[in-house]
Parts: sequence; structure tokens; C-alpha cells
Amino acid sequence: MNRLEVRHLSTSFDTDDGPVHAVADVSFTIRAGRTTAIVGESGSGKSVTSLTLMRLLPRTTRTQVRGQALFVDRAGRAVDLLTLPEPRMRALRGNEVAMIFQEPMTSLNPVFTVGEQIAESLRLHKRLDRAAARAQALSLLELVEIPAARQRQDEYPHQLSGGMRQRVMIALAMACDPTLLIADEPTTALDVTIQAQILALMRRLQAETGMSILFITHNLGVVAHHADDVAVMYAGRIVEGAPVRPLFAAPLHPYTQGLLACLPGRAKSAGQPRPRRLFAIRGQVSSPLAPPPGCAFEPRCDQAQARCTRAMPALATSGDGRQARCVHVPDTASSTRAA
Amino acid sequence: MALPPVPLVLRKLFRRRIVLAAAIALTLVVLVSLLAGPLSGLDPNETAVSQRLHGPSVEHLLGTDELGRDLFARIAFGGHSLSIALLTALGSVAGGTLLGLVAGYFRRLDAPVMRVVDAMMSFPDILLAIALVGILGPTMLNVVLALVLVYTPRVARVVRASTLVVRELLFVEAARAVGVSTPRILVRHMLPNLMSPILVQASFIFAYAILAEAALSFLGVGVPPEIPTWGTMVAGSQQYAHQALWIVLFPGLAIVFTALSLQLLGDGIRDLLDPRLRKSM
Repeated sequence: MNRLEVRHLSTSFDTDDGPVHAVADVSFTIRAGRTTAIVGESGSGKSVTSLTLMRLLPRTTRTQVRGQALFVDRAGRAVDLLTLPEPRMRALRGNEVAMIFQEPMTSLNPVFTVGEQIAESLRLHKRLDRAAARAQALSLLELVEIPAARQRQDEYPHQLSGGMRQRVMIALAMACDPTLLIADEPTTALDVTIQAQILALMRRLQAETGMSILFITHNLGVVAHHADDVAVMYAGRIVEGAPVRPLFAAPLHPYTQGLLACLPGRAKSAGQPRPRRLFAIRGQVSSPLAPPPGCAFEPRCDQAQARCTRAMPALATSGDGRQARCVHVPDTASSTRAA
Repeated sequence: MALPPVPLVLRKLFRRRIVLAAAIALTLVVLVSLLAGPLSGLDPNETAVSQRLHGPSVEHLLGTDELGRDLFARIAFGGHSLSIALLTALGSVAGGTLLGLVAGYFRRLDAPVMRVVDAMMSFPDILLAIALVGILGPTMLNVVLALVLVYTPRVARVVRASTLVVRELLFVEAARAVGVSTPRILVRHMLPNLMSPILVQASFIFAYAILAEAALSFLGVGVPPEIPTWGTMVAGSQQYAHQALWIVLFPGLAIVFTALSLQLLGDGIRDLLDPRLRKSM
């Protein structure tokens, strides 16, 4: 069963310099109880995708959202997250769909104790009274393995370390037993040992509760270990989508190939002499205000041909649930191919 | 509000001697005005023409004014000035916080609200207050109303600026991601984070309001003469100042003393609440 099915999602911002298509025609699915990772570099549209799904885009900008995001809730009903009325969306947020952020340092309110902040979500969605919410908050803090939880409950965010705060954020997200957890770079701001602990914690919670996770990251190592399905984004579009093993074993899109070639450990394990310089994809991401006429990756691609400059290739399906947006990848399911 | 326990806060606040002195002075002023009746046993409006313009003596601690009224009793009862200032501070903080929060959080309301605020601020304070009391009539309530209208825009400006900063912080987005409604975000999540500038504004307005009330009374558009305030006392006795300096001096000193104490205390609170200064204290 698919927990979330995103179809042709597009988000664009009207700026004074013209429209910016931050997310264009993005489709992916998240299976129930599984993890889908969205990978991409800064500005590739992965955070905008998550914020669009949560309907948390800043309201100060003139934003246009198109597409569908069919979410199956606990009761088995399918709703479109993008068109749901705001009060119903608010009832979903924190309850069915929870989110954790990149910066644990600033995503907690400095003037409330961590216990109060967790209790708020419980009182909001589960209508618990003060005492019951407090007791539940304590057990949540214990669930995320915070030592001396009873004491920590009455402490303020500034009294906790970064890793501890991210645990609190996870406890907050887990408060109402969500069916979908959106984790927007949850470990980027943490050091490596803490990263591993947090990831292990999320894995354990997923196994215990059966929730789905949308994992947004630029860390390919994390993806390899923790994701079931992967979508690689470049310049607002998905350029490759595949289950995790085949993606790492045989990337189809030149961008994915380039990303994997950048990994320091990879050249070594392939038995080659260690290169003196790490591989880097040449050039830089084109401006979102002036995208190239054809494939967005064409200016940086070593395999580019003349036809790459003419039109954006469609997302071709190539069997085994794999997709790639490149002229070099033959479309095996030609019936789904767009004109 | 989630401040550290009170004794610790006070200890930090009073680490600077001048702030401690200001707090003691202010407590004294408040106590005297609260206990004015029983303390002096005098009626501030009782006249004794035979004793007019007497200097300070055992019978009249601070002397008498041009109608023979006891100056100490009048200054003590002049605590009315304090209640006017307190009401003004409360009123303008409440109004200014509401306007500033709304203007800062809802971008669409920002320009309309702030242009009205700017228009009000473009009048010289005292002129606006004079005009308002002139229209409304000189009663204590109207003086408070006029002063609230004068000081609300200041609070609104400060609160709006702070709101613009706080609304962009991630915890606000995190609260929305948990499903908190907008009114609740404003009141429960943002307001406590704005308390420090608001408290400081309140303390400054309290001091300004004492001076403004004095100025209004001095100009004859303040509270009615039967209510003794420090401003009316200075205003009423100015023509006798060359014969009996004390009748201007003492109420004037009361104003300066109270306003100065309040400013110093406000300063101390600001330093305490400002995280950049907190470490150096």
C-alpha cells in the first residue's frame, strides 16, 4: 500500500525577476512503513517539496502549487494534501503527518520547557488534560532515549545539547503516533556520532510504529543505509527514481553517476588506485530564473548530445520500478511516455 | 512566562547598585501615595489662608502653598499621577502590542496599520495630547485616554519590529507543523518571546506619562484642579515661585525623582533581558 502518492507536483514562486519553478512535475510514492529519500544538492527543490506537502510555504510569497498528493490516513481514507481545507490540514499536521527540521537549535521555542512543548501537541490533537499530557510527554522522552527524562522534561531548550534537542524534536513529532514523518535533513546540523544515534533511533521507531518516512537529505551515505526508495532531484525535477539497491549498484542518470563518483570511498572500493583529486561534477547549477532550454543538467553533463539542448527529456520508465530523465535511458514502458 | 525563579532574577537585576536604589526609591514613592491619608492625617484640599506660603516647618513638613494647603499631603496624594501613568502604560502596551503583533505577523495588514501608526506618530506628542483632552474634556480618564493614544504607536512600532524577527524563527514553523492555529501561535508562541521589549517599553512609558501628565496639567488641559497631581501643583504655583521656591521645588522634585527611578529601573530590566548583555553582567 502507498502511504503517499505525489503526482506531477509543481511549485513556483512569482518573483520580481519572473517566475521561479522551484519544483516541477515531481512524482514519487512512499510505501506504508517504508522510507523514501529525496536526494539533491542545495536549491534542488527538496525542502520546497516537503514544505509544499505540509502546506507550510511562507505566505508572504506569491506561490503557485499544482498537482496532487494523495495521502492515505489511519482510517484508510485518501485525501489530497494540496486541496484539503486549512482546518482539516491543521488537524492532520502533527497528528497524522509530523515533521522534523534541520536545525534543532532553533526549532524549539526558547521560553517553554521541552515537556510543555511536547504536551501541547498531545493536548491539541488528543485532547488530553494537563496531567495526562505531562505523563505522556515523559514517556515520549523516554521513548527517544533521553537520559534522566523526568528531569529533562522541565528544562528549557538552551539547557540541552544539539543531539538532545533533535531527540526532543523527534519525541514531539512522535507525540501523536504519525503515519508519515517528514524529516527535512534531520541530522545535517549534528556531528557524525550523534547522527548515527539519531538515525538508529528513527529506524527503531519506524520498526515499532510502522510509520512511513520521507527523508530529505544530501547525504548519500545516509540514503544507502536508511532508505528503501530514492528520488534524486536536480533543479526542481526528479532525474532518477529507483529502489535503493539498484540505484547505488547501477545509476542510470549521468547526474546520479556523477554524484556517486564524488564519494571518496567509492573509487577505493572499486579497486582503482586512489585518485589524487576527488571527482567533481564540473560547472554549477544553472540559475532558476534562466534554465537551459533543454535538459537542466545538459550544461554539466559529459554525455550531452545535440538533442539534449532542445527539450527536457521525459521521465522514462525502465523496468523494475526504475525511472530516469535522460535521453540515454530507453523507455521500456513506451505507453506512459509523454510527448 | 518562563523566567528563571524570581529571587535569582532580582539578584541579577540588583547587582547594579543604581538599579537597586531606583527600585527602593520607587517602592517608597508607591508606599507614600498608598498610605497618604493615614500618614499625613491631612486633607490635601483643606485651605488655611492664614498659613499661606509658609516655609517647611514641623507642622507642615514641606511648607504650604498659596492657599495654605499642606504641600506634603498634596504631594503624597499626588500619587494620582502614578495611577494615571500606570493606566497609561497598561493601556498603550495592550493596544500597541495588539497592533504591532497583527501588523508584524499578517503582511497584508502591515502597511495599513503602520501608516495609521505613522500618522499618529507624526504629531508632536504633547500637541496631540492637548488636542485630544481639549476635545474630550479635562477629566482623569480622558487624560489617560489621550496619553494612551499618544504612546500606543511607539509600542506598536517596537512590537512590530520584534515580531518581524520572531515570526521568521524556525520554532514558529515547527509549531505550525504540529498543527497549532494562528491565534494560538501569536499568543502562546510569539508573545512570550516579545516580552522583553514590551516590558522595557512599559517602564519607559510609565516614566514619560508622569512627565506628560505634569506637562498637560501645567498647560491647563490636565486633570481638574480638585485632584492634586504633581503637574497641577507646579502649574498652579509658578507665579509664587519667586517668593516661596518650595511650592514649585517639591512637586517638581517628586516628578524628577519618580521619573528618574523608573528610567533607571527600566534600563536595568532591559540589560537583564537582553541576551547580548546578559553574559557581561
